[in-house]
Amino acid sequence: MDCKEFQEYVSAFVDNQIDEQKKHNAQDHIGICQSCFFDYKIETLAKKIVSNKFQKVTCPESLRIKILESLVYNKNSISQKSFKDQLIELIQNILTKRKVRLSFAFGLILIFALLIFNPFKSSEEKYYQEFAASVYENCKNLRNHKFPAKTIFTTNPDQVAQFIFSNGIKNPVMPKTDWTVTVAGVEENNSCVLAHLLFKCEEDTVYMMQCEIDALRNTKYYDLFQKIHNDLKQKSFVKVDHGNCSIIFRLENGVLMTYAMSSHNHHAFEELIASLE
Amino acid sequence: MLEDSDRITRPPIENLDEEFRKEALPHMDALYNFALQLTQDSDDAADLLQETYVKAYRFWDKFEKGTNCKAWLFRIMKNSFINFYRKNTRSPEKLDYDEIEEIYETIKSNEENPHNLDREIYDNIFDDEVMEAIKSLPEEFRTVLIMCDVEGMTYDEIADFLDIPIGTVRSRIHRARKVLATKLYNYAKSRGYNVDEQSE
Repeated sequence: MDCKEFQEYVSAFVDNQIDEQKKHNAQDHIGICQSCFFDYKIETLAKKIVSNKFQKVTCPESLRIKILESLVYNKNSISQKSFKDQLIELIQNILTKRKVRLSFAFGLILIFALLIFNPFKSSEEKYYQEFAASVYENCKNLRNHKFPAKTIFTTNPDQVAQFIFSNGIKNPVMPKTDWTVTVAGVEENNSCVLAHLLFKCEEDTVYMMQCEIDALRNTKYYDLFQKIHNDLKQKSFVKVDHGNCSIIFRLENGVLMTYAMSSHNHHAFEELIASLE
Repeated sequence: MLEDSDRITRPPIENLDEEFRKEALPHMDALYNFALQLTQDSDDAADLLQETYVKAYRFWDKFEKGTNCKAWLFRIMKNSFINFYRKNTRSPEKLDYDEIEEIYETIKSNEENPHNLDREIYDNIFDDEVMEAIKSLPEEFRTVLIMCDVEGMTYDEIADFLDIPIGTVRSRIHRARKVLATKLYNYAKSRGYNVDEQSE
């Protein structure tokens, strides 16, 4: 074993994650090479320090309880049996108890009223949802293009997650927000989510979007994203206007990402652009 | 163990899947530590931990019984982190590895006997300085180091979990330790333990 090879295996040697032959060779090498022996000792020391002096903390009790509660709660709400039982109970109550019947009717009226007036939804939020919906419509057009057999189109993150898991995709991309638009596909080797457009609202202005350009090959979006991608080789960011929206794209680890997105003339957004320039 | 089960009796956890209770819940502390390392923020770590458990429970039927549950949970956490937390986290200062390498080589040429360093650094460094040094590592270095030296995972497990070749695991751990040792050497030195003394 020479120094170069030893350097490659020194960590594995220290951790005893190496086969007997290599271990033997490594031992021989540090017997004759002082420089590598030094590296070996330092690495052993670093390991000893981390193993012994790393301060493990325990999960705070309040957090533990909170998590367990959320699990128990989820269990109740997704358990079909208990849901069915609850439903039957509710219907029985409605039929038999006057008080329950009254409150049920009142509740129904309230729900309709909320649906119609929707006081909780700001115009901003509505705009974003409409925008997300339009993107979703656009994505639907991708159906006409060549995708693997297993492909889903959905705005429902749960469905995407279910899809990813049920197809055994390695390192799944996990959608979380309500405004995720995903065009997911599985390749023969079960390894990739093909196109993934991710939207996330950050306060009132910023969205994130991730797009793997290769996934868009053979689609009408490909040229656009390819151009942005090329431009990004010279610039640190690219601003694209899309209707009322402005989107800033950047490259992160070679992946095209939207850095920010704005619908109106947000002051914060302008500041952001200024900070990038 | 008794203490653990006492702690978690408050919510009606008997409603939870028994296997899940036995296999997944005991790793909460380890996962919390890992979440703290990833996010570097206790609020984010709490959110990440909760999200991980909720997802794990939702997809519990996808877990292959008999395989490493901790690694499975780690993987869910890592993926959640990559997607939603990384951008919000302040990343530590970019590490100039070449510069560290240079400093390391200087130390090497000054300190002929590594045994001295072992004594000087190990005995004089405080636990919180170790934590500080680990915290300052880039995330990719920190993750492998914690998995290897704190969680005791094998290289195969780490490679599988991070989906990187085993050679990358080896080199990341190697580099992480070099950087860490260099930083700790500088801490010890700046605190007045003159580790250069013998050679001067």
